[in-house]
Amino acid sequence: MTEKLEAVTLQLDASLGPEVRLAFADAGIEARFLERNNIGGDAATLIVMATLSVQALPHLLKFLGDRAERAGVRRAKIFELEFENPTEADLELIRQIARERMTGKAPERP
Amino acid sequence: MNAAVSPATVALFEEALRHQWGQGASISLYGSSNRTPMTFVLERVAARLDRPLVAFWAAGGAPDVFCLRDDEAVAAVFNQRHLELSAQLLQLFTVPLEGELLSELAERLCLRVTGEFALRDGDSDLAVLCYVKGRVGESIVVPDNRNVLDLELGPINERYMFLWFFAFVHEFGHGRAASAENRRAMEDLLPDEAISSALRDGLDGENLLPEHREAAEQVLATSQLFSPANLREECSADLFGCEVLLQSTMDILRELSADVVDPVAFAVEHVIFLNIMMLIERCRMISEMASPRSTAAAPDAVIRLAVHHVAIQFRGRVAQWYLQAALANLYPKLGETRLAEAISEAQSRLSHRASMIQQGYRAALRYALGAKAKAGDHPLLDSFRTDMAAPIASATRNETRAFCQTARAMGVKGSLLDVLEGILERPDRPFSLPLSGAHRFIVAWVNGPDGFSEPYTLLTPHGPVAPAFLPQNPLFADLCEALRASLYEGYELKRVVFVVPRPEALGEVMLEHCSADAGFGLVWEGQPGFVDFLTDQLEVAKRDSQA
Repeated sequence: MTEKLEAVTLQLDASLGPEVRLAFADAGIEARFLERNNIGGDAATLIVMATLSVQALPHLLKFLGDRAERAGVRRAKIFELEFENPTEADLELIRQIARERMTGKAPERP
Repeated sequence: MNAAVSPATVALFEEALRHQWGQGASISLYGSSNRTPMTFVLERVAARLDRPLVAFWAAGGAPDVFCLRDDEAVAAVFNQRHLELSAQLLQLFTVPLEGELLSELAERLCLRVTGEFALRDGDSDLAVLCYVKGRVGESIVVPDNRNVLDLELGPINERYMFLWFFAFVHEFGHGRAASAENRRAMEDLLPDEAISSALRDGLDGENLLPEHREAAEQVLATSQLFSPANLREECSADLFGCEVLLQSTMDILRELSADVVDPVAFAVEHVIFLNIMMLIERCRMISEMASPRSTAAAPDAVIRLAVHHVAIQFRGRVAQWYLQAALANLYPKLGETRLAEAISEAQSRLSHRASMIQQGYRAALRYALGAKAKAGDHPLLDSFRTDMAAPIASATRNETRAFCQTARAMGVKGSLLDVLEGILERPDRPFSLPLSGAHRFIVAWVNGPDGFSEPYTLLTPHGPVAPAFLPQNPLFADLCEALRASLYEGYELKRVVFVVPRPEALGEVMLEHCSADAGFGLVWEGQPGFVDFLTDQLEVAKRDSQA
């Protein structure tokens, strides 16, 4: 059976770069990391783009969950849902969709 | 340029850009098959980077300029809208205006740019209010030229090169700024303490209140945005931009017209475009601070903008120091001192203009920060409707249409955007604002002998109907004026405001204030057909009072 892959895009404070690279490497998730700078001199942000299996999602969600209260994660796009400054409630929604995907139940989109 | 980058990396950059931009922008890879001023500049950028570059062209969408980079390549976007807005703001530094007129023009342009950034953030009411405030009663119209070909037709000189490429090349400069070797060199040039001290000194010129000054120092000390490391990287990208533009301008002038760069003009254009870039960025910050989602208090916004101003000034001084040294080296016959004096004289001529522009910008800031409380600014929108009805307003109509189209292409929805589109379609017809927030209604109320107290009602085929308006709807004043003439002696008409939790509760509350046996139907603003109904009734009332 072909494993269903999900495209994930995150935008984080660049200062989280070393942590997110380590977390992805530990979880065996391949990702591309792009640094973004604005003309006005805003602090740089890091864009992380990955395609991963639903089974690998818990690792990513743990990383996000650990940082949800630290406001370092600015945007997250998972399952084609986009969250600005994702909160624990947003992550719970993603977990629920992931569980439904893993158990084969039809996902209920909000 | 793009050839050395793998197709997979180009695709990755493109995908990331689309994600960053959202709807409404068309993004394409900029090819190098034709020789253009852009490819000319990009060749000189590529020669100075340690990794290949990818250039994209974005049309439509928000006027954002940024770069993306990874270990393999660096990508920057040439944003057509940023160019168009820069060309508009350039007028502030070139039009033969001064004093209050210049401030007013600056206010209008800043409001319109703020409106575009608000669209990007989906804050459609703020976007519409800022846009309309920037247009209403306009006596000096600076065209918003969305035809980039017109801008291409300008003479290729120092100004052209800065207008088109300063922001773009600066972004590629981040590709060099991030290298370890460059970081070390910049740390030697601009140590932490020198930057912190210069920024603190810069705050002296901002005339902040003592308590704001303390908070500004706190922002300087804690915000990553104003950290020495971040500013060093921006300064490095600025120096890269100046270096590449100077070389490109020299080369392109030599090739096209055997002309040479005017060093004073080059240094002055740098100052102008740094100001333009700062204005655009500050408009972006204003839109974020004025957003209904923002929790920042107004003083915080003022402090942050003051610190941002100081940081940009610092960057400007570093780049000017570099440029003056580079230009003196290239033109030794001019003499370093004479060149510095000539540049300083030209810049001082700009400084008065810049302070009038700042005044206009501050007025734009005040309006935008207060727009949240205005909800629907009916008088402003109605004045704009009157403007739009004039035959002379065709250019403004076209530009407003373009604003609305941009909003829709971005997927923006909102009631004031609907109203603005309605005004464009039928500027001859009054409009009604949708209900939002607290429900305050004004009602024409009649008091008379023997305790008579009732709302004024219009006679309709369905019986007497009392109209209730949202505050500030000019139709209310028109109606009262028409009604006063028809009142019997001893009766007077008053303006009464009712505040209700929901519109449906209004009738019950009104009845509590009526004399016995009052009976009437009720229509309130916000219901479909309210304006049409009132407009028709107003005509009847006017006819009756004249009769």
